[in-house]
Amino acid sequence: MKTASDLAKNESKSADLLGELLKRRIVFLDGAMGTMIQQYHLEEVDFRGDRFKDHGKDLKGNNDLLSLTRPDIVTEIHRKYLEAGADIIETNTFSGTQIAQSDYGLEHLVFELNQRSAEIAKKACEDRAQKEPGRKCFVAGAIGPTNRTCSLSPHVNDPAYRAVTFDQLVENYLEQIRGLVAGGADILLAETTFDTLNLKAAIFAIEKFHDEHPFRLPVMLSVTITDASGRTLSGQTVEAFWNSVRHARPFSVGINCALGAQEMRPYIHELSRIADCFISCYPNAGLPNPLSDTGYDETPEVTSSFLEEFALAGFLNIVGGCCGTTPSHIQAIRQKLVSLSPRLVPETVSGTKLSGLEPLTLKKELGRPFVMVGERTNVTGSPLFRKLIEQGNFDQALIVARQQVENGANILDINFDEGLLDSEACMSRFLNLIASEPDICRVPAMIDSSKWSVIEAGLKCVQGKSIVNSISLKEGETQFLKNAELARRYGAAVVVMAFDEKGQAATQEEKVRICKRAYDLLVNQAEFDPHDIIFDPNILTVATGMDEHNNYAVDFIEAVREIKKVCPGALTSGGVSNISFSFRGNNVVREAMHSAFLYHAIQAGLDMGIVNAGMLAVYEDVEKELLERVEDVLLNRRPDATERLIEYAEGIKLKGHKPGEKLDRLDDAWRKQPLEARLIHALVKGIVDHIEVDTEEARIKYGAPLTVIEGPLMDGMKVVGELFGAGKMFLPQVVKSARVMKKAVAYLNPFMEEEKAQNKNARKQGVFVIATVKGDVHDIGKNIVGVVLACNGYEVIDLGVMVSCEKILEIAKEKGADIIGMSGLITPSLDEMIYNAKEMQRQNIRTPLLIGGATTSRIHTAVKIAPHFDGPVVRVGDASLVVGVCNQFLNPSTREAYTQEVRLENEKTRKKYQESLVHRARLLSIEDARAKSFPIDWKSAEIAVPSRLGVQIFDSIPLEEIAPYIDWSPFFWTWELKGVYPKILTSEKWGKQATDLFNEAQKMLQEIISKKRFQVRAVTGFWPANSVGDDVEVYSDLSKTSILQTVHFLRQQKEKLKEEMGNFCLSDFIAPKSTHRTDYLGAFVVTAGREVEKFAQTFVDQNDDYSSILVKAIGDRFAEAAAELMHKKMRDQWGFGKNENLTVNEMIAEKYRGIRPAPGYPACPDHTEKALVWKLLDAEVHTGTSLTESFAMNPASSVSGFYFGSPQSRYFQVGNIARDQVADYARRKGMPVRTVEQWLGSLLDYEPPSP
Amino acid sequence: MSFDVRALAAQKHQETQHEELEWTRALESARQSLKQMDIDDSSLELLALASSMPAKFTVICRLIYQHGKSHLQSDRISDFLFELIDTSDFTLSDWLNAIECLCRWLKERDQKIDFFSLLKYLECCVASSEAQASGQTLFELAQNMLRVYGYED
Repeated sequence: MKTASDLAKNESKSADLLGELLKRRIVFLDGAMGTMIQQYHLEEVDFRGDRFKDHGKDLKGNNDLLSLTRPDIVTEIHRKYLEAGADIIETNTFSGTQIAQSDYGLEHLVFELNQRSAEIAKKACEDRAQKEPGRKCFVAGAIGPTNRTCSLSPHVNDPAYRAVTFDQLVENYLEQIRGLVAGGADILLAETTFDTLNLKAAIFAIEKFHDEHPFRLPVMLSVTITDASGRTLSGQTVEAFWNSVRHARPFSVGINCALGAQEMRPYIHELSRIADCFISCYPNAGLPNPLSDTGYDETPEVTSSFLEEFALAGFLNIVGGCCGTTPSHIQAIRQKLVSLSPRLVPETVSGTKLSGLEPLTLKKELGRPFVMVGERTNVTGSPLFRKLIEQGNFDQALIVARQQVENGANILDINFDEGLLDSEACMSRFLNLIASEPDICRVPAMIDSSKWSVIEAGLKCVQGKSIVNSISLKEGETQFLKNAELARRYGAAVVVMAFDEKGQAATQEEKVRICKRAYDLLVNQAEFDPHDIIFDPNILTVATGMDEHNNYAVDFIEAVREIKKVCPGALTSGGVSNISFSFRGNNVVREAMHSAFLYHAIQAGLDMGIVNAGMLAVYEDVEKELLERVEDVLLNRRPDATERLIEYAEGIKLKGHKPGEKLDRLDDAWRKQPLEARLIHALVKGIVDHIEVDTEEARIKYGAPLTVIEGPLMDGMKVVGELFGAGKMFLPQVVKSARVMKKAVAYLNPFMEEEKAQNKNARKQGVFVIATVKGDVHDIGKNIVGVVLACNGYEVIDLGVMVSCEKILEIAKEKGADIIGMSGLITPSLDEMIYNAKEMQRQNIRTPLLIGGATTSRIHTAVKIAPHFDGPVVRVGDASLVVGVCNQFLNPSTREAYTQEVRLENEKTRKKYQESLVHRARLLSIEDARAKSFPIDWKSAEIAVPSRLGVQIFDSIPLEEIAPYIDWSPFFWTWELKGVYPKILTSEKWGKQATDLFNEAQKMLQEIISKKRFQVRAVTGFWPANSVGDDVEVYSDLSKTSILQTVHFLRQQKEKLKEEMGNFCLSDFIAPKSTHRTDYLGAFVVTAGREVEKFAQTFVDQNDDYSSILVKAIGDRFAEAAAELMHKKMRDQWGFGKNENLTVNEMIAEKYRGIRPAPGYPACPDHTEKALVWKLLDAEVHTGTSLTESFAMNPASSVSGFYFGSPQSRYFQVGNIARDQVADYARRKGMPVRTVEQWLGSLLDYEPPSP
Repeated sequence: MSFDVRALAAQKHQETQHEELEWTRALESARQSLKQMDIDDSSLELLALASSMPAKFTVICRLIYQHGKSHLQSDRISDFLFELIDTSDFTLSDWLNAIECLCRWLKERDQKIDFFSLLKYLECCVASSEAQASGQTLFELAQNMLRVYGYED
């Protein structure tokens, strides 16, 4: 095998020439081949030509074949792209493998197809060079992904099945590459990757090809991001993909296909930030459009404008087009970009970069956390796992893997070294199964075996960057380097054991010597990246009774300390359980030993450890005497340390007790109580630990699962309900109790299904259908109501958010809903609820209707909703009231009376409301109100000038930076705990619950921050602006000749008590155009991202509503805190923020200059103005946040608004508006009056005509 | 203070059916205890006109008085009150009813009543998204906020 140095000498001329070109300018790829071929409208006969006229299969659509049958067309297309300015043209070989050609029965032609295609392209380049002497063009041999995925099964019922193997792909690609290079290709371009494992096979084949030749061609890699998830088809994020393929040391990496430039932006931005090579980008021409000539949306002008923006942002080195693009597109792109500077390849921060579906990047400067490698998926270490594998029970074995990840394992160690197992087959099968479990395979794999064939079998199954466990110098340097090189070729990092030809290292000196030797070999000879090396200096068992073993732990710890110094960049690891083998069977002592050992080893520099994730005790919690004895052993502090620890171990009476358990958890007295008491205790205290065991016991005792639910479980929930109703228990506890109940019910479900099938007359619980209405995305309150009702025996059917009326009513009918609940946070949802009530009336549905959400009110419900619906409709203010209301409707003895009571109450409210209208404030005409606008002396008023104009994007604001700005008070209000933080923590009534909740929130917050569960994004902007009446014109630049947008505001019309108080409008705070002064308006959108919902869902999937609600509540806090942080940054940019000197609390109390009013809030009540904010900031592209049809922000944890900097700017309430302003506003907005009336319904001073 | 107590008392008696004597006492007491530095004449008259009962008028006057006594150097709280009213969409009556609601709530819980904090609380109510729900009086909004969020000084 050639060394990297040998090969580097023979880098091809193409790489040098291209490299030189890329230093000077952006380089241009061609556009789509397929799109151009379509324009020839070829028929079957064209594809067959003469040569294949008798071929047994249809050949139309096999574009690669045209290189043989219609080379004139392929040549012409190349020529057109070269004329348009392409520097690199791709061969017509997207389907140039046996796998792809097997669809046409032309496998045998693969070499010829590739060779001929490359020759045609090469000739086209040479012809072009003759016409334009001095111009150099290149041929990129295009290697498509094939049409089979190596990571995913095409069969839903057999996730372990693969339609293609790694070896088959390597073979296919190698043949293709040989053909391309024989035909003259200058570059190898593996593109349109939808499965990284396919690409890794291509990379492997490329390396094999280079082994056979004295030169190296530059390698370009390109991935396809399939949709707005931002992931490949096989599920990897952009960063995970890059971590997986960077071992190829490509000339360039990039993104092509599937998306238009606009959609591709965030991903190309991400890639350009992290890749230390050139970046290529060739998007589709927008989205498919069957009505256009090319089948795609975008014109050359549009595509090139997007790409110009990318180039200006510094994303690009190589650019072209994919599906839908034509020579005109390439020409337009070249024209716009040729004089722009190419991207500077960044010096990326070094570190260990691994991946599963998601990246695991360990960078020193971020304070590398200890990495846990889950050890339970190991047949040698886990009897349970071994038994499952021996029985062929891989499904249960997957659960072991999942539990490790859920318990915090960052990497999974997988081992099948057992004499009677077919280890290679087990490794392949297990990894293939894991690949279809995103919650497991999101973390990298550590492929563990003493047999290289097993390791290789595993490496061929993982698309992520995994770790080989392990290699060593046991068999000498040659074999060591060979295995290392092979591991690197598969893209893996390596664990290097401290073994050499003489055996295992036991002493500190031996460990350091062997590791240093291995390090020098790997780094200096094999040119291994030190960050891909993980040394395992062997954790050996102590307290064996043999004196020579007593110093093993110290030797390991000190070896780690030394290795970190002499092997810079490399990591250290070890199998932690080894240290405590002497105490097998005594988990208390073992876990104390692990905890103490890790404490000291991490301080010495241990980076990772193979552990039983989830069974690690906290060092501080280990009982003091035990800790002392354990540390005596580990640190070899006294000669009798082993005996003393054995003595202690034998004295421990409690089996299964974990060291560090708090005393009250030690008190398992409740476990001795009768079954029913145990169930109640677990429900009331929210303890899930034994619920399944106890539920099973109850099922056997009571005979029928439903009896268990309606009996002891409901008895427990009744206690919860009573305590909650009496204010002795608070919402967080209730939600925890619900978690226990859900787990019990989930356990009983399979039995209940069976029972229901046998007994169709089984009594139903009350059915409650609940949804957030169409256009609205907020759901925390709805979720809480659902949980509370479920606790009280209701069958809750939660339809989620943005649910149409049709869907709500369809499901309500289908499920026989006893009650329907509708929730909404934003004012447009109020109209939606009115519509829904009307529909219920029209469809003759009279099910009781419950209304909830921040902007709903008793008055609105009575005045606007109830008149349209004959059934009872009640507004319910909070979760603690909902059970009472529902029970009244469901109970036959109270239903009628309660329904009547509700009707009468609504009537009374309507009457009172009508009477109150008389006393409403008088409104001025809009002209009079404008005449009384808030006065500012614009001749002398100070106008702050922002230091930066235009849009600024903040792709990923560090969570640590945002966290200090969190205002925790609203967090407690979400849980219906009344008070202001931090006082609430010491409140007599709420303090204990608030403190418990706060502590749990802090834990979740740390999880979110340390594991980057959220990605908070923001986009802000400042523009020159002037007011024109009640509008504000926003200009594209300081010349103010071009208006970007006109923002429309509303004015207070209420007659004021004090003459000197103006009738406010937000435009009053911007200098009027007539003053000829330039003022500035800002805008922002901030979001905690869709990751909030995603992370919350992981808990829902585990029936853990409590954690799900916690996550969402924290998500909301992050969004608000980020808005606060961004406002601070913008005030600093404005200048006046720099001298503020405010604490965070003072900022939360708004003690600063300027305001940030949000559309939909009292100063700017029209939600539709959000659309202008989105347009100004291109917010959806930059943050992924969209607006629903009701202008709710999606995801819900988002905040948006305007920035005003005038010192006189203030918040106010627009309030009621009269008909004249509505008409004026409609005219300014270019909307029909009726539409404005619909959007501003709650503000109208009059009753608009019915539609 | 120079507003006409007798004329005002007579007018309020006509409007509210409360005894003219009751109104006279309330107005007289306000005139004697409140100075210009607490509230100007026209504002005091507006308060009286907006109050539906002598007792409610007295409550608001007492709050202004107590605030003035304990914040000698600060600006007039009555100016702040009127500024808030005019910034909002609610009437003076709405505000007075809401203030009374808050006072009652705080008194029931033996909590100290600071007029400035109370007004700031109502300012928050007005600025909240809940204020957008149509038809609510400030009183109802305040009641709702108290129930959901409680009250902190």
